[in-house]
Amino acid sequence: MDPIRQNLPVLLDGLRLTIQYSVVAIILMVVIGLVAALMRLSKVALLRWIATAYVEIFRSTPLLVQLFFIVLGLPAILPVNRWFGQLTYPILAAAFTLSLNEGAYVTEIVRAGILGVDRGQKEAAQSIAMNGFQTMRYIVLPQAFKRMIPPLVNQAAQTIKDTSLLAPVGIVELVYKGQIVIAQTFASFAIWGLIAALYFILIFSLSKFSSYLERRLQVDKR
Amino acid sequence: MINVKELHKSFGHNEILKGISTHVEEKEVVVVIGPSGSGKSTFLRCLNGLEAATSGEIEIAGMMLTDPKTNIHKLRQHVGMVFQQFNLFKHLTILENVTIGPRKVKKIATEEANRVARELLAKVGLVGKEASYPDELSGGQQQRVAIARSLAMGPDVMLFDEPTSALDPEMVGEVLQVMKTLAIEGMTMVVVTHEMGFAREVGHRVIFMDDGLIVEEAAPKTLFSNPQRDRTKSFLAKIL
Ligand SMILES: Nc1ncnc2c1ncn2[C@@H]1O[C@H](COP(=O)(O)OP(=O)(O)OP(=O)(O)O)[C@@H](O)[C@H]1O
Ligand SMILES: [Mg+2]
Repeated sequence: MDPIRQNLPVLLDGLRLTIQYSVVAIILMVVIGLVAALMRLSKVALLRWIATAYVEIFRSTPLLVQLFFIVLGLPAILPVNRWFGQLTYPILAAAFTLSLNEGAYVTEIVRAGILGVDRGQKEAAQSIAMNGFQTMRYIVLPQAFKRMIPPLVNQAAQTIKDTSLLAPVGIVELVYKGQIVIAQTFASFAIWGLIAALYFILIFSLSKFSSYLERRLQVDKR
Repeated sequence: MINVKELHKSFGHNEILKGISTHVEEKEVVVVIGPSGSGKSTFLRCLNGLEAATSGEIEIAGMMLTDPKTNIHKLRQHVGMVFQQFNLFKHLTILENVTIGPRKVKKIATEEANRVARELLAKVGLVGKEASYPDELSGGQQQRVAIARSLAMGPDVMLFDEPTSALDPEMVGEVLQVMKTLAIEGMTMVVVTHEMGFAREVGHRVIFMDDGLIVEEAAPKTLFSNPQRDRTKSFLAKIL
């Protein structure tokens, strides 16, 4: 138990970074998913086409490859390190790539949520002279959002797990810190076990929070 | 108030409206009847632009609906619509259902919108339900809220698409009563309904539609007691 006690602060620092990346990616993935879903449902063919291509590309390639490609591949042909800074670029690029990847799945969640709202709701909004934006903003999205909560929480849990793929491209977070600790202590079993436990606590509390939310919505189920 | 010329509407290759021409005066109550699938709903939905006409002209509340330059949202402020399935906004309270149009579309201050909404809810007999949600109300109550929601926009014309067809029989009367009051107050109304009593008592004119065309139109008494066309006769024989 000694390696654990000694290295717990280092690992907790890694956990803090993991939570930070998760929070950023979860917020961005919702924003991106919302925009891309609205584009997919747009009347403008070009917007639909761009959004569809985005979703397909990110869903049909592995996240790890996307990360290598953008974090390590892109600097080979573009002076991105000079633009953003040698240390900042990988962090920004990794966070952004992760958000784009998760955003592709959120796009489908949001799209299904919007399409799931009864057509009569939209027609009623139109009949009281709401324009497309007002109909979305005040009528369709609030109703879609409620049915989107469970799959979104699910996706958020996936995002937390996916932050572990940031370590291979050199981003410091929980797994990265763990590998450093193991290199020094050789306590492979204990440290990986502890890391797994930390992820478990994080994601388990999220899913508990989710079922709490669902129960709340069940109580006033509008 | 409404002027329709040679209105055609097709869904794909399927022509639903095959040249409708009619005219509705200010304060007139026109009842539209006809068999299922004859295009009554489609006709009504064309009148507020929920469906775009394939060809023909619609002038309503002083605006050319079929002119592409017309601002459809501006036009819809003058044309209210009540649906068979009520379509109240499920996530909003009764009061919010009635105020959201005035607040968000007409940018009316919340207090003023609330005041008007309470008046309208009183008018349709729903005092005390302001804070309820639609699914806590009976069908008849929901439909009366839907009427209040439309009225809150201050429309010049009200369109009703089978407003009582989804209601339990004991709730039909309360909705028809509200509509009758509106008619007496001088609202211009186009009502698709199977309620022949309402047509007789409140309607100024009845339009019989079949297969995408107006077969016959006349004052209710005339049409019901002395229909000219065979198709009208056989339809009336079935429902009266
Ligand atoms: N959006 C649509 N796409 C394709 N066909 C449609 C659409 N809306 C209506 N139709 C068709 O148009 C025809 C007329 O429909 P409409 O709803 O206008 O009839 P109706 O007279 O209102 O009938 P009901 O009494 O059953 O309400 C029907 O055959 C229907 O299937
Ligand atoms: Mg109909």
